[in-house]
Amino acid sequence: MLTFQEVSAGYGASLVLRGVTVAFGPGLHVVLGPNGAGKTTLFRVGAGILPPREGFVRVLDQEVHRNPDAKRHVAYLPHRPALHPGLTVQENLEFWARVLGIPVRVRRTRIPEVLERLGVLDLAPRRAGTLSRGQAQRVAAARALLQEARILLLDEPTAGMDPEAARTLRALVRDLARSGCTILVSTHNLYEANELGEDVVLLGAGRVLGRGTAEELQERFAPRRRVALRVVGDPRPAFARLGLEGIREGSRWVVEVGRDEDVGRLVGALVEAGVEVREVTGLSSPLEAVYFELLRDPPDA
Amino acid sequence: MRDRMNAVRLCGALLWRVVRDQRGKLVLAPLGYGLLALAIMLAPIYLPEGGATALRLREGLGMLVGPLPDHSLAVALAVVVVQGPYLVGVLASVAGAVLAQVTVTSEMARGGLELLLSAPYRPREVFAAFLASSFLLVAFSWAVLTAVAIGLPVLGLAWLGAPQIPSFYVGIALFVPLPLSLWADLIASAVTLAFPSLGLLRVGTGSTLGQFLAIAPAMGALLFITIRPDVHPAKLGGAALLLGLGAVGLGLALFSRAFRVEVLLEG
Repeated sequence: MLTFQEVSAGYGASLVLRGVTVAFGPGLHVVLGPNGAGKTTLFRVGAGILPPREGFVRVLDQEVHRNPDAKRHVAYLPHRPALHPGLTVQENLEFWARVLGIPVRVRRTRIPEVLERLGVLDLAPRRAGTLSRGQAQRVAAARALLQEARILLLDEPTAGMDPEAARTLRALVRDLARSGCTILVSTHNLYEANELGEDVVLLGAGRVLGRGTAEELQERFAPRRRVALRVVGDPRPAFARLGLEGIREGSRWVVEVGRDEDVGRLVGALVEAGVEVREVTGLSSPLEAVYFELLRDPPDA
Repeated sequence: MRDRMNAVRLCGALLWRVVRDQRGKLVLAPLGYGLLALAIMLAPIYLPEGGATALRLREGLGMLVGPLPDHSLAVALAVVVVQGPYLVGVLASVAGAVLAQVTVTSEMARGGLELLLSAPYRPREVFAAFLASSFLLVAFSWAVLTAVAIGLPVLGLAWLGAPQIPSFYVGIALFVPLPLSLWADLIASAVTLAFPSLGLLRVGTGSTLGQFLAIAPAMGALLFITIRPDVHPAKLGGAALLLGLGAVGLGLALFSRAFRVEVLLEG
């Protein structure tokens, strides 16, 4: 369990987090927000790196900034892989195992295990400086697993990975969440957020703006959705009857509707009016709608 | 006690990483600097009459060993034992400052410090381990450099029949470069860690304010012994040693208070 209680934190004169109160239990949580929302700062405070100016963070009932041993329960994967370029992959993990004080006997088996788990065991003798960004990010993820922590904070973990590697990592993250770990993932990738987001925390201007499933967030922040229709016949009388405005874009009509049920009503009205409906497409995923709504109209503005 | 044990463990890990990364190359830089210092110090042997500064330094050597035979060995010995410690101090300081600044800035640039701070240590333990590992590397560098640039010529010149230098002064001469290089390492790394923007402030081409402050004491000491060879070498060496150690202690105390994590993570 990771709990932020009234946490304010920042750098120099700028305050990035403003009184954040949020708790995360076992499972997978996605932290979503535009640049500057405070995602990385939230992770840094949660990992015990950056001390809060106000409030506190508890890790399994221990205050992490007062008791550094509590950091043993939190593994942090920073946005940058932070590998030492002159060392091999194996040596990078060996170094981290030494930093954590993992006994030699344990590290001998655990290092190949985590490398295997991330599919990078064959890279073990390679110098980290010769890895691609995606490979380095996988090795860094393996390093985070080395700690066997109950809480994982992954700051944009799939950045720079090819689609296959990203999918492997997402599958691993889901597996770990199922095994009882508490996992926080920050991402800009809306597809990824949609795919992982059983629980999405929306962060904006250093505050938690909302939390829930993608659908719940859409209800709150972007309740209207846009659909594209390909039809045969004139749909405008049906739009007018429902009080909707349709815009012609090439061979399709784009209409903004309220809820999912309204889409059914719209199709019903079109069919009643003798219009043949060939295709109905949602133009944005729920989270995408929320994300752009948040960017367009930030709560502080 | 817990702090110390943790800092020692982390320091061990950091040193292990440097050794794995550098391997045999660790010895190359101090060896190169040592040979350079040796070449500079022994050059006056080949100058007509030994050179004016060398001859004045010979007078300083006379204060330590009494009347000197009038030959080039005495000139060489004077440069090595009177001026040598400060020249070695400058080179060791440059090596220490560059090592510290490169280590700290590259660690910060690739996010290594952020990662270390996420490990189960207090920020001050990370700071202490960082400095301690850096100090040990500088001490290693000093040992190689001093052995090559001062130890070897003193033994060699004694074998060739140069006057015997009092052992207490040989001790001073060997140790004077150590606090000067530790100071350079401390300033370069601590200024970068505690005041990153100040540490990276450029002064002239390529140098930073941190590096300038780091090597300034060694440069000042070398300048002093060059223009005032009439000061008793043992008094000057003893003063440089004590002042250097005091400055390092004071600097450590001040910088450990000034170290703030959010400054490191800013930007």
